[in-house]
Amino acid sequence: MRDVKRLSIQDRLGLNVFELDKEAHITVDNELCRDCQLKPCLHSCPAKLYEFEEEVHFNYEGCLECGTCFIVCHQMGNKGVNWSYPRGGFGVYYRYG
Amino acid sequence: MVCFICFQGLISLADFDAIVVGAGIAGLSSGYVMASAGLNILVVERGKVPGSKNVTGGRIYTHAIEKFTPELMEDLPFEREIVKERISFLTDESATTLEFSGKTEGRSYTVIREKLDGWLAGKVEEKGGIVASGVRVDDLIREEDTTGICAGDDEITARAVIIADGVNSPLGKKAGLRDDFKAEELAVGVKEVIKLGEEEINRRFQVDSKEGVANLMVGSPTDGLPGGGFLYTNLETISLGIVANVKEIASHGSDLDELLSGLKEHPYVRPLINGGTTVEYSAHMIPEGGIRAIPKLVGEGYLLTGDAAGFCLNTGFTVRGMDFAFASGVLAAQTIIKCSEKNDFSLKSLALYEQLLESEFVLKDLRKFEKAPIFLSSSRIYSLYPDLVNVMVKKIFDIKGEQETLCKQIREAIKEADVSTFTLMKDLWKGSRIL
Repeated sequence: MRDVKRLSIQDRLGLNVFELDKEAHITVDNELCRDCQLKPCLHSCPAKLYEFEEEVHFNYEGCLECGTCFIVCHQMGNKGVNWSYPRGGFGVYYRYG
Repeated sequence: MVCFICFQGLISLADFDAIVVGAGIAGLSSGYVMASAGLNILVVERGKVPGSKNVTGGRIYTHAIEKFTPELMEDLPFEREIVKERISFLTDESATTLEFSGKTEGRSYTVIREKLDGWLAGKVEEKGGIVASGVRVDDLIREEDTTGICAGDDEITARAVIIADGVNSPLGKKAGLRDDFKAEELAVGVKEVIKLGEEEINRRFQVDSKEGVANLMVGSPTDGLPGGGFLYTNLETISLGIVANVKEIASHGSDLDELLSGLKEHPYVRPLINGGTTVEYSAHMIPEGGIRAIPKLVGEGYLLTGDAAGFCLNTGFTVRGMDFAFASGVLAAQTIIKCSEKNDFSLKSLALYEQLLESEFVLKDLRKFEKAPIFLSSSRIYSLYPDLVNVMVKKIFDIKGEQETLCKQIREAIKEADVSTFTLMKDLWKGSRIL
């Protein structure tokens, strides 16, 4: 029996088509994140775009545009994440959806 | 862009009769119905093409399309018609599946949104509507009796704007109709589309090419958190995913993508997808707060539709969103058509939309299942009961020599699961009344 290949999050994002924008549609205010105990963005983002190493780092380029980070940050975290949709025509391009 | 439009002899300075923001199911159904009635309409979509930002599980129940726009059923780009319904209770090692196979009166089909939405957008254009893609609406404008949108430096006006910008609805917020949905009212789903080939899917799921399977899974897929797994057969691909409550995911620190990896390796799922190639990974939020989470639906110059309005219904064994989106879009369109005939786009006139929603399944069903979101937040449904079902069924089929009666085995299983008979009966009673 052939195996089901275990895909890392990088593998998964690598399958998607993205129209990269130079302008970031996610910004993080680490002044606020510093005092955030839960840091719900780290686990909740389905693309694992948020990482914590002394401060919160993020990569907006693999964003799947679900909006979960904004919801959990603003309702359960310290409101450090600012998220909007990318500019028209940019961001993820779902070929199946 | 300025043009003059004639309204029963009166001149309106608005560029369009109506602008629709968002080319999803709700936006495009409203655009189609308005354009079919001869209205001058514009649909604005932030994705490069319609559908490129949209995600479903997914299947669409087609009753609303059949009722309002039966002509669209002829060549709608469906994947497969669902002829097998499966509900599976999963533990880490076992699965118990309830399957119904056979035709139902109401039809449902699996769909791929990029195809479906692109096709619907084409239909809007055939009827004379304009669909502008790759344009993000940044703001709304409201002056006297015209409404409009701002996209970059462009301002475009209309007599009303239909907001169909999805679950996050930045414009619903700007219009003052809603706030963010609460984390406990939202679910987040992740999905892999796995390519297997048409013949292979037919063989593995024992279906013909036009037919398919819908499989909801509860228990180990979410590690016991409120939510579940899903599998739908498309023509050549499988949609496999996990949906879980946003608040629970965030507070438990669970990683959805890892839960999905776990599901792919589950002994029940693995043989179904083995050898397949994943071609896409997507994520999307779903408004699951039910009627109590529904925001204001009508504002001065605005109507709110689809996911933006929270029109989704999860009963645990059925999950609906696209039929609600389609119907709400049609009803919004009917409202605008009526307002246009009367040349009255006042708040009072636009409020017809709410009456229409109340008279249709959209608000009726949401109201009927008012208590479903609370009932479905009980953790017992996602860990205790899937375990109990599997222990019970395993006992029944597990012959090791001397066999016990069914009654004794069920009693033993309940005892092993450490659930009081009272709690079990109460949940069964409540569940049967609420769902």
